[in-house]
Amino acid sequence: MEQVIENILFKLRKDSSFDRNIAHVELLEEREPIYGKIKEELPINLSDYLERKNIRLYKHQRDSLEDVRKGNNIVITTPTASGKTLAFNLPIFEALSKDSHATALYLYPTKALSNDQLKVLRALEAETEIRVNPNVYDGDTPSAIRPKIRNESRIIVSNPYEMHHILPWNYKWQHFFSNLKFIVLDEAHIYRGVFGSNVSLLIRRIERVCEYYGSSPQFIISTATLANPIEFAEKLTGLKYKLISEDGSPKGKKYFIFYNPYKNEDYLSTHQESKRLFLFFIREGLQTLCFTVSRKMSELIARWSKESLDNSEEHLKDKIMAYRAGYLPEERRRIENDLKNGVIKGVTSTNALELGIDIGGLDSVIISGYPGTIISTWQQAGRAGRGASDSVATLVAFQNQLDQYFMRHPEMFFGKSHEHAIIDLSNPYILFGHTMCASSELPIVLDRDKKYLGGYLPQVLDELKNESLVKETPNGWIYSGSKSASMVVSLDSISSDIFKVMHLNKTLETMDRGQAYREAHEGAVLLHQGETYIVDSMDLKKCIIKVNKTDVDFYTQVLKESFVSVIDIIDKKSIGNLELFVGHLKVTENYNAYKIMKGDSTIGYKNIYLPPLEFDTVGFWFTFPCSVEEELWEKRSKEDDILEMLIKRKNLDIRKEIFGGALHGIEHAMIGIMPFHVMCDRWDIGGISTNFHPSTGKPTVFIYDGFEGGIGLSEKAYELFNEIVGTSLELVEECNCSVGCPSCIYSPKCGNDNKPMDKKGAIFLLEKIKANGCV
Amino acid sequence: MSITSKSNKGRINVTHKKSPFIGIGKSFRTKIDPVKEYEIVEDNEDIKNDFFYGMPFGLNQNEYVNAQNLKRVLMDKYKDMEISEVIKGRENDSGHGSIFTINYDIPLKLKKFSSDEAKEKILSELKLIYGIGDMKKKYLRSRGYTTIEDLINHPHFSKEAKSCLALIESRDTKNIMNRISYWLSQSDELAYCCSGFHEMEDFLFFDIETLGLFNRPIILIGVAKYNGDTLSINQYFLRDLAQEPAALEEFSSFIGPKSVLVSYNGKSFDTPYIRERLSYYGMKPIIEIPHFDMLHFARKVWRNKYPNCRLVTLEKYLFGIERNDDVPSALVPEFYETYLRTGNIGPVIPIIEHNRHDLITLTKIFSKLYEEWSK
Repeated sequence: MEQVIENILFKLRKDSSFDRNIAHVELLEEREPIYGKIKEELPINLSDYLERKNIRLYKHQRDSLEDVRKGNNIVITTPTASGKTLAFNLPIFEALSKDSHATALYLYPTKALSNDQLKVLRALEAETEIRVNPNVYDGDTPSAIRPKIRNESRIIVSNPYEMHHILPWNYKWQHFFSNLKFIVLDEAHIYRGVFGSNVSLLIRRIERVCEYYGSSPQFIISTATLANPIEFAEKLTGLKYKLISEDGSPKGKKYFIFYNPYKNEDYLSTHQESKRLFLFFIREGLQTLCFTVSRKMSELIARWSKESLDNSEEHLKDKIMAYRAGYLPEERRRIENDLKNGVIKGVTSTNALELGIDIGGLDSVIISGYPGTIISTWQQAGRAGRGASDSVATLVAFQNQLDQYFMRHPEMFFGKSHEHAIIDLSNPYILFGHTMCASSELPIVLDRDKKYLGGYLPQVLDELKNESLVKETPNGWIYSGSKSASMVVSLDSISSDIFKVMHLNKTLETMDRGQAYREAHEGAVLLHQGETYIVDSMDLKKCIIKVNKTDVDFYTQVLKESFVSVIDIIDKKSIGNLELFVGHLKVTENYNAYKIMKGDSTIGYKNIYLPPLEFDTVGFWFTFPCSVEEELWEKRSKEDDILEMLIKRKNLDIRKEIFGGALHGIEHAMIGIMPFHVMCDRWDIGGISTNFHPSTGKPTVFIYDGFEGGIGLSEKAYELFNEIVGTSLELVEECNCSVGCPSCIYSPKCGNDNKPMDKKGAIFLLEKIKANGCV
Repeated sequence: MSITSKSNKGRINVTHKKSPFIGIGKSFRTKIDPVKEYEIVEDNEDIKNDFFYGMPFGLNQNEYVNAQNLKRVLMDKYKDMEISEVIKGRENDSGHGSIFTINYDIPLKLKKFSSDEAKEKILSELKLIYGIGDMKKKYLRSRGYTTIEDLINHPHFSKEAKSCLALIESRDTKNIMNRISYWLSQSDELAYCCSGFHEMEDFLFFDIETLGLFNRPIILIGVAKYNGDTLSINQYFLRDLAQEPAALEEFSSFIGPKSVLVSYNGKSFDTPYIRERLSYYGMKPIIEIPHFDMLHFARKVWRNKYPNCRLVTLEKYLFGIERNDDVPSALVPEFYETYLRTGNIGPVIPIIEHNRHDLITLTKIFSKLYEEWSK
């Protein structure tokens, strides 16, 4: 395949309609395997198995084996398809074969992944004859076989949602928990943000129950590459970790193309360009997978591609198809198998295929639009490459800020990771919910349980006591609410109000009030597992959102207006004459209208009527001295565009507008770039900028977590402020536009329709902050 | 980097040092309160689907409104009163602290199978032998084999019959009941008949009241024993949730190696619940003893005769008892919470009475089933 791929790329570059859009090609060199030698022989069943299968352990597999043997908790960050699963199954099977009572718990974020892992475990059990009786235990497990699994399985594969409901029944799990030696958290990077913060407290509840039953399991965490793997693992579980990051598996050559449709004035859309590339690679004989952000797009790209085939290419028609979450299991299996054995030449998919699911490797992957995180991008790109053979991955950019930033800065993408996975253990709502749950599982004993539930435990219990939700007794703090604690607390949201999104009496998902206002107001197009739904009604009292399934080619974006006031300051620092703060904010958001969008253009506006959303959260903000306005004006008023405006309008108005526009631009740029540093969705953060804010008495830019109580994003951003300012400046400065565009300072969710906005002013101010920060 | 960290004293004027926790307890309270673990059926129809999570589930609008009125009336009536002024009882010291104990003795006539009757009935069921179904049974009977003892001389079933006879003669109720459940059903009258193997004074009739469907405190345990002419009821009521271990301890202390449990829906609800609570407090689990769950048998006999098999329904149709001022089971948690919140004992009075009535009716159903099946 080596020559083949190189030749194909040569051909691609010779075609100017492609070549003109290629922003960068990164060659990821091929690599020989690095093996490791184990110190102490494996039990005979395992070493025989490896020999029979002709498996030599790679370095990272050896390292994890040795570290686990030493009793360390480990976090493995090697990429997809590097043999991670064996890296943790091996030491666990070894331990379970030596101790015939020992048990292990594997947690996966989804049921599908659990079932895949079960197959692997069953096969390994059959091959090695080490009896571990693996089973999945989740919502689909029939109640008749549950007791048997609890009492007899030594490896149980489950998910966090199930554990949340199992823990109150811990007495039935006594046998399993008291022998628990290992907890595996695979695909752990999913446990970030609101979900991750909930999961981290859930894990502490598991640890607490284990301590009660006399076990203290060792953790094995596997995650995609992060900027902060150790910090992340430690926050997730409260324990110390060894990092295993050196990948020893062999790699073929991989070409990674950054493809930017917006490089030229006369551009086609990202989707159209994706289709062209998809067809190109298929015609060249490369088995190609194209990832899209929505199911609709994946169906369209597949359809367009088929329609573009010539008569002579009839044979390809049945070999191109779309794959998505909504398909029946048998359909999916068939596509997965056809992919594996090469019958299918091209498949389009939403991120349903991103995680785990075994489809073997492909020759080529197209990522149609930056999927939001570098992690996801690599996971999708990792689908290309079969063992040590060559492959190609193509990222097709949207017009968005981060997409465009990477097109200009591939080195930021290929260099060391800048993405921090955030877990917040101090969100009071999450803390309260899990403290309540914990108290219903076992009485809370302060001395023992502070290490799990945090130093504020006494205060939290006091607050709960005032509402008669817990009670202090000689046996500890017991749960005294009359409703099941675990039913009230949801892992997917911060437990204030939880809205249920219902489709035909079935709950599709749950979301908190803020998210519901943003994404599921009346008339909103809601995306769920790649399917589109239109919100029919929203019952604010009962917290029920009813949706209809509809295939539409437009989407909606809500417009909001925010007000903030400062509650208190947690920390502050000075950067020259600029002051930077992090603290608690009271935020009021008004959602009054939404835009209906098709592609990049707005096709209409509609009003909505929602009560204002008020919440306390954590944010960071910075203030400029009032004199900055003068400085900016000094510079800007001499420039042509302003001089032109001065002919028509009053000096003072323009001056105010320019300064406001500059602050506004900084706000949007920073929000747009933040997910690159602090992993989150840009919709998870909100902002406001103003020439004068009553709480600070100064020109101020606020950026805050869009969640009740905060979720740790702003606190991390406060730490990384210099880096964020740096990348924001690059983002704005290098953008080719003259007055601002969606690639730099325009925000799709701006309640003021991106007005006022001043790109030059934003650059001026960002340069000022940067200069101050670096002197 | 020139970023310098200053002291925390900002020059900014803000409403300062608000604890981030204030009001969050309340927000959970307001979130929890509207959650209902029961369903109010709007149009006053009888509840058909009578059990959920093993607990009576659902009540109709009338029941709901009446109960709320009752609560108000009782709260007025018992305002500022102590429970001991209203209900004859005393604080009793268990190994785990004190518990309010209410004792009632009620003269009563209860009937049950004798050991020989039980044995005879069970031995006359040939289907307890491996290989014998309805057809085979009919055939065997036509050939003169009417009991398991007869089969001992049968060329084919002799071995099985012998072992089955030995099992029944062992009077090992648990294993006999397992065999009956396996070949017939756990609600078969023969399972009930096993009660004949035990002395009347070894029966422990019991019923618990709780703060919810699972995983929350038990607030009252009622236990009744029968000595031949009197039913002696002991109720352990938590005046304070901290007394739960004491109530559990009192209950456990009743259980000896010869005890057998009798309950209404206790196999799915009361026993697992008690086991969970004992484990929650790290207390010793209760030993495995035979358990006769009257709900199973009642369903077998009366399911098609009466609107449903809830205890109060059967009581009405079988014994002509209409309860006045009763609290529906589904509302017990709410009533008790009101007591906890206000200290007003009014709402708990009907809970205690409800529990006592349930126990009495339970014993009567136990006796009634004997009448049904000894005909």
